[in-house]
Amino acid sequence: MNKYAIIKDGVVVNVIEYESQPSTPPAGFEDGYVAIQTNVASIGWTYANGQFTNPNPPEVVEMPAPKSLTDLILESPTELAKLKQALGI
Amino acid sequence: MSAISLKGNASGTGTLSISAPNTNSNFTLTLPTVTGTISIAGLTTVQVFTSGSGTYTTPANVKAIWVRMVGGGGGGAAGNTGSNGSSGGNTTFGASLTATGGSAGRTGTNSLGTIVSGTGGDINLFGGQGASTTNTYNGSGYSIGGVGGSSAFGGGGSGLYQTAGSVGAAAGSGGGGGADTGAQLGGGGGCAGGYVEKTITSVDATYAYAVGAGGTGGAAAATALAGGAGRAGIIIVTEYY
Repeated sequence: MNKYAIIKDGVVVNVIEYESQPSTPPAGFEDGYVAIQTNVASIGWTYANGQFTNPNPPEVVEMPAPKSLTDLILESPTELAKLKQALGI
Repeated sequence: MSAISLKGNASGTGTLSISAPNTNSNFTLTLPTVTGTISIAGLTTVQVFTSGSGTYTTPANVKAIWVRMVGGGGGGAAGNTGSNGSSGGNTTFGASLTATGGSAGRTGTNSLGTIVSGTGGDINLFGGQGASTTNTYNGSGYSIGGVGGSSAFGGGGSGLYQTAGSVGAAAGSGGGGGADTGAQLGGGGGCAGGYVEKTITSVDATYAYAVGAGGTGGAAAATALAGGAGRAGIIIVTEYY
């Protein structure tokens, strides 16, 4: 079973699973619809020149890297003072 | 006084018998004042569609159909360094019934997808929302992917510790989000497809239909484990004679 994007006028209007490549148009659809196999496209994506494109790509949220204990101490004057006192420096 | 006329059929050779039940009470069977064929109460058949598209043909002598259907579930997202899932496909029956495919689970801090419903039914219900990631990382721990949203037919895929998201369990349910084995958030679960239910008493001869596919789970990358795929939708047509 594979997923196929149902495309009308260059826009994905649905995604359906078929056992094999469906006819053109796929059964139950009118003329003008075609089915292109895909594992990535969703409804609303565009299709041109053999490529699917998401017109609304998700915003990339960068996660901050975890801080080391040294970084956390150096960022806190209070903790740094405690550390110096403990070390006698 | 109105009369009762019993007519045979010259073309047939069989014999139709009217028999009394075993009872000591009196009953009266009143015939309806309409022209038509009396149906036998309780006689139903069911057709189920779990993939593909095509044309549903109403069987002969069917008086009404009860259509229940759900859109494909959304795919769960991978862990934070991976990618979002994809949304499920729409499930449609005829020109007016659409059960919307579930939204995809997302990566990052805003991992909840948008809940969706359907249109055209006597009842249109939202599918369940995929859960957010469970943030358990503290610099050395791990995050768990969110559970996929439940559809009207049952639960979604799970999100487990150090495990890729599971495929949605029930028809139309969302896939589970993938865990992350680094100091990152896990992926959000995919949302379930919307549910539509409709009783059609004036049936057409045929209806075009399509069963929405489940969305693809987000792809793994670096420490992010993959999200689970959403489960495909379903159409259940109960036919009343």
